[in-house]
Amino acid sequence: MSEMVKASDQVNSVLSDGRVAWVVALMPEAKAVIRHFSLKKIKTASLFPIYQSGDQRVSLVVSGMGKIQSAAAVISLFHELDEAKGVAWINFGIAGHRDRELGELRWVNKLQDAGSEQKWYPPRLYRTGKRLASALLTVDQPGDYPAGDTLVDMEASGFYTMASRLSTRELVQCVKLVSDNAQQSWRDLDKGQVGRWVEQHMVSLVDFSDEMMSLSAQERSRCAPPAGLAEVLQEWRFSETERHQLHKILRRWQAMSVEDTAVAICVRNGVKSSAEALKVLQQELIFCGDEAIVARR
Amino acid sequence: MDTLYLEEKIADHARVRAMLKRFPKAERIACARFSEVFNVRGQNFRWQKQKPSWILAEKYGRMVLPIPPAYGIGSESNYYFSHILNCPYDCRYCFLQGMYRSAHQVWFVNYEDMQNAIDEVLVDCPAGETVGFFSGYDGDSLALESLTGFAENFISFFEKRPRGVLELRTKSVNVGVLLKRPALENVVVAFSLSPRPIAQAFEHGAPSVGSRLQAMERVAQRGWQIGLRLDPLIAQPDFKQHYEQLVEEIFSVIKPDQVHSVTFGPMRFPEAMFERMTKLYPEERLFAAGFEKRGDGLITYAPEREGEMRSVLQQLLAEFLPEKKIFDCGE
Repeated sequence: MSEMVKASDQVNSVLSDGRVAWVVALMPEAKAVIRHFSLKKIKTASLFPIYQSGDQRVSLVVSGMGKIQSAAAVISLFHELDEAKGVAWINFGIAGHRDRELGELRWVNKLQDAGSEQKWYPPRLYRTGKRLASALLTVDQPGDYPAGDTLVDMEASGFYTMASRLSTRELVQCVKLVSDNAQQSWRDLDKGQVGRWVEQHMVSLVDFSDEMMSLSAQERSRCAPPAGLAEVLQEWRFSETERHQLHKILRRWQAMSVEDTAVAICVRNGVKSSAEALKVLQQELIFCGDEAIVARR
Repeated sequence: MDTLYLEEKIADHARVRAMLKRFPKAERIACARFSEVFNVRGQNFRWQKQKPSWILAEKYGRMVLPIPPAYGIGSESNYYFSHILNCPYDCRYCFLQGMYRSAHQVWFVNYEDMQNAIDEVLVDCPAGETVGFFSGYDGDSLALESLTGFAENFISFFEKRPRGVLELRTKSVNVGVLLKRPALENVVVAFSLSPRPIAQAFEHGAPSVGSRLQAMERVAQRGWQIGLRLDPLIAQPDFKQHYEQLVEEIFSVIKPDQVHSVTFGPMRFPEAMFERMTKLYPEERLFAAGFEKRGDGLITYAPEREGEMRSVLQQLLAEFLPEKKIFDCGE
């Protein structure tokens, strides 16, 4: 069974470490999400309204329309997050589609920016199953519907460009709600109806959010600084290069499950400087030896 | 398989059509070039490996490349070519996880173009010389045979080119294609093998050593030449004892004269590749201890440890095989 599936089975045990950040263009799309996760508007100097759950695991920013707004909102939210490594980013909002039914929820498997023609293919680690997917074209101005099974919106490429620089691409996804089609123009869009559609899909959206939260927790665990790093950094003054070396040594140290803490070993060896600390810790790893690789698994 | 990326220009290729027929429910996503999906920065090989998609693509550019000088198995000149990138198994020591940004399974369907490139190499090589062609560097040669038909196609191709020596390298037990046809002198079926504790600890998803040995026995009985690939050597407690056991097991199922070649070499990586691998698996003990950076920039075991491991293998193998069949790679 895959790590991810195992993790999603044990979703409750790992959720507490994950983070999900929603980027939504307009309030009618955001309201039900805010309500479900009990998000509260936070006091911030951000240009964009930002909402967060009490435990800070779920955040949401309302970007306004357009890809530049969306990219800026991602950065704005990023700066508000306590520890932003390994956050799952979800762009959720309305999109047009030439012939899909109004109110359909679609995941995005291919994204293109109409202006630059740049394309992206968000890796799909989540359970696909009933989550139906389409391509998505991000445009600067509303116009004709693209041919084929392609959604059209005004935000996703801006969102994706920025969010995929902040987290691994497996954690950056777009989910769209069909709000208009060739029969029903976007000009006739009823804000109340958008809210009702979102409400109808909340179970699916929450389920997806949980899955992304679980993956985020795994990624954050992978990225976490090795145990003992902060303590050693507090004891001696390390240059940038030495910090990098220390990080590597302690990462290996952690993998070998050395019983003593790094600081304790340094103190026991009478370490007086960062250079001595690195030397002692490195030496200790050699004593651990490769004999332990298989035997201690 | 639930997602399948497909280069638009090969949508009508016969092998693509056959694949789509096998997986009618797979979601198809069109792309212009496989690299749009595969080579993009900011992907995580480790997470993708849990649920890789397939990418069906056309190979272009240089299709046949020379191998490093120390990696030959007896031919005067040696090349490798890849019909696939990545592998269904998840061996923790595998260099592919440090080489590629994506764990998606890429399949290049234009075999005929690869074969033309092989013919060009054969034409350029001096008459009377044999040329080795390695097919399992960037993925397993047999593991996906039921989907790709690679071995069947290329064995038929090499049947008519006796100067070319094809190596099929595998950890799989998918040997049906070899059992249903007569053996060829210029095809080596090379099995990658590790001592059982190493295989159990690090070769995730690969068939057990026991089942690989059984498959090897059947292939040898059918008359195919066997390659033994004891690579990488991994430092471990009771190293000698474990390899003694492995070598004994190997020669309890095949005879020495059925062996074409044995290769081995200690685990080693370019530094940047090693860094990427340790970042992917920071908790992995395999990468945590015992390595050092060599003068040539490779990360590997200390020279005395490497020397010990090599010496053990040389001695064990020399009991069964002549020196000319034993290749110490990367020495």
